[in-house]
Amino acid sequence: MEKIKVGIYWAASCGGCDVSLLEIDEQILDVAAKADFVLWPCAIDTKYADLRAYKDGSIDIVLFNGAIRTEENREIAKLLRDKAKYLVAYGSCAQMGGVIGLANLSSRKEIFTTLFGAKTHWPKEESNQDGYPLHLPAFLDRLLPLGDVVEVDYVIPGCPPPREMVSQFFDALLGGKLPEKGAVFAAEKNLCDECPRERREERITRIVRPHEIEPDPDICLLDQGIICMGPATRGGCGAVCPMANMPCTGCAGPPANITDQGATMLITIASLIGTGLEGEEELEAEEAILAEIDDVIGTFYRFSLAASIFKGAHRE
Amino acid sequence: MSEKIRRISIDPITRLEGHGRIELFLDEEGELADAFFQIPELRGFERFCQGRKAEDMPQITERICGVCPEAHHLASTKALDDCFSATPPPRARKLRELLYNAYIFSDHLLHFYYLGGPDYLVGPYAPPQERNIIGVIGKVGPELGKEVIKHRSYGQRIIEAVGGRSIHPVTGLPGGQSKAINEEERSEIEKMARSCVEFGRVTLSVFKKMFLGDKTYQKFSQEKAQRLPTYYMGLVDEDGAVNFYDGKVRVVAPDGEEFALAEGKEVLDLIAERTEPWTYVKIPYLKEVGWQGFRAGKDSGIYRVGPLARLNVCKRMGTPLAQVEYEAYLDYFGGGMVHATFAYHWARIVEMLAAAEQTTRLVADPELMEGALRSELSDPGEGVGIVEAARGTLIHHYLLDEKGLVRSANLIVATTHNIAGISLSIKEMARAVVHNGEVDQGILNLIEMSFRNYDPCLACATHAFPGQMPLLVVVRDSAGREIKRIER
Repeated sequence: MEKIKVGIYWAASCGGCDVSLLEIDEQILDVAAKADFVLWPCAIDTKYADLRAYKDGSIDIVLFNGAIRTEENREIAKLLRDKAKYLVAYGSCAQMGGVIGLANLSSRKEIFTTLFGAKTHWPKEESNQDGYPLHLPAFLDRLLPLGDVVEVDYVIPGCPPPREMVSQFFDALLGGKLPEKGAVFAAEKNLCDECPRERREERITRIVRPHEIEPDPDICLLDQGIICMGPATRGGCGAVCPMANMPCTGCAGPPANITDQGATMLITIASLIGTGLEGEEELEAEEAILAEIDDVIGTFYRFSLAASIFKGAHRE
Repeated sequence: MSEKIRRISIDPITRLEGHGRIELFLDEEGELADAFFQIPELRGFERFCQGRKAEDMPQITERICGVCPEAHHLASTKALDDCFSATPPPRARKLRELLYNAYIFSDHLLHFYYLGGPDYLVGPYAPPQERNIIGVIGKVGPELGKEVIKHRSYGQRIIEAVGGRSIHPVTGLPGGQSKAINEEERSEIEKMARSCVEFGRVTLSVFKKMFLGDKTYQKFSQEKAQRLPTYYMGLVDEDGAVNFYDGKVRVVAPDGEEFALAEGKEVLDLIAERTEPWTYVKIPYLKEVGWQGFRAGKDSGIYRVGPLARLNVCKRMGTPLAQVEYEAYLDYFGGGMVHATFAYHWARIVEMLAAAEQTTRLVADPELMEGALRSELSDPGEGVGIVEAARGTLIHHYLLDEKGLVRSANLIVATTHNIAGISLSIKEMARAVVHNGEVDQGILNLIEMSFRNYDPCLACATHAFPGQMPLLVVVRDSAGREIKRIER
């Protein structure tokens, strides 16, 4: 039987998604026995020229991690869409922009000024060094999730995707049992559904930050006033962060049927806040509690800003 | 560009972390005219870290690099310790060091067998489709192949036990750690760590057989053109031994003379940087020596970091087995300073063994299992955190406002320090192997091997911003309460 052709690519990424593929340990040997890796820049020596030479639709499946930050990212995403039968948004950045989508709070000009100083020091798309012409891909005005540039067939969420999900994906691929297009390889329900902490449904009377208290390890972090993104986040990881005494930050994106993760969590928090006072006094008290939340965007849209309803503050 | 000049692009360069491209220009005789090492990626962390909550920084900045997230996580956590004037309790410190040494082991293993190693374990001229980890397993056999996978996994499982996750850990907090490990985890780690020491020794014997026995490696590790007499930078502890987690930054000149011994903010004062229009990375150099263009030597401010540098700045290794291997390494290169860029590979696995040995020490330390995990925090201010990432010195420098939000973040990352060195190495190799305009995949791979020595992380490298932090002065009364805060 002919081997399945698998491509792995990173756009604007950290490489954690690539490492997450190694986290399946010896299963990678089974994968290698049944599949050929035809593209994987961090591990094998395929160049863009080799990739361009492949026929359209000749790669069975491409796992694409990273967001679209430069013109080169966009070009390769389109190229891979043509070459691949199935294209998978692998990890938070490809799915919804990821942490680096927070850059959409600033303009390109603001980013370059912070990084390089005066405009005379900025890198240029076309430059000439001692007579040698050099090109750099343009830095786009706004970071985009993969699905904003090309059609995506599957999503494997997480920053990076957890071992069990990656393993299940390869089982499905090698067993010829890929689900319907559009499937997300994770739980349907939210993280709270699998979190072992006891939820007491207590009203939030104050907001605290993780370094300000030592939380009880057995009780829900929200009950203790720490903002945990569990209610607005897709499960499947086993609630590893709450198990480590730290709140969920939402890396797996929203559960099924929810589009805006941050807005969903804001509504959840607003509904949990209360002091037991009445009327105006209660409203004032609730407002005071909400005002204790620092960095609303970085808290509620840590991974999903680029895919949110407002996509970031900036327009250029 | 004259019509007679020919351009050869290696795009993308492969078996490394991040995006890079090499542009070679050949003259009419087909000899190298010039070479450029370009980094075509940028994400802008320094910008979007502004306004974030301080305690989120260890988890935000680790997304700079998913191969070395532990390094960013702990450089960031240490910077926060400093920002909040907090000293983590011994138990928290030991937990961090345990995670950190397991990380160094695992990351160095990754490079040796998966990224840089295939060039020798499979062969520099082997068909490109075989020159990778799968080819390595084919060559060394499934038994050793499974040991490679198992021990990378051991490193990752130790990181997971201490850090909550194996990639992008979460347990670092200003002044301490969010969780401890239990006895069951500890004893499991102890078994894995012992096995890692054994595997470190196995890896050194693999190196001696397959690298030292490889003609290409022999040639380029001895050839003068592939030696760069530069300055070197790295952390050492009080005894002058290599320390990955903490210590003072020591800089030595090409002749071995100590150039600087610095800590905290002093380190930032040693470095200046320049920008080039053709790359998204900034190029640092030693401010006092100055920028003299892309060349090595005592009068050029170019310095290098990482395994080769650490073994040049240290006086010894901190553990016995690694010390023996360190001495054998020095003997091979004739003692004293080692400038051979190809020696990076050997230095890396000496460190891999050292990190495994250190892990066995830490896991047996009674302080790991007793006492507080957090210490008291003072009002937020400015702080610097420095660790040795697998690829070299990593510096996080933050300025916080009174609510503990980030005003400014300054990151000087391991591979950034090495950009000038990598550029030089690529140029020297291209000059040595490209003749009469003839290139094939083997020759182009030799050029790529010259950067793979450094194990570069180019996702990391596009972060450098020294010298532009706002100045902050906090005036306190005798009880330590903040009275006034001046910023400019």
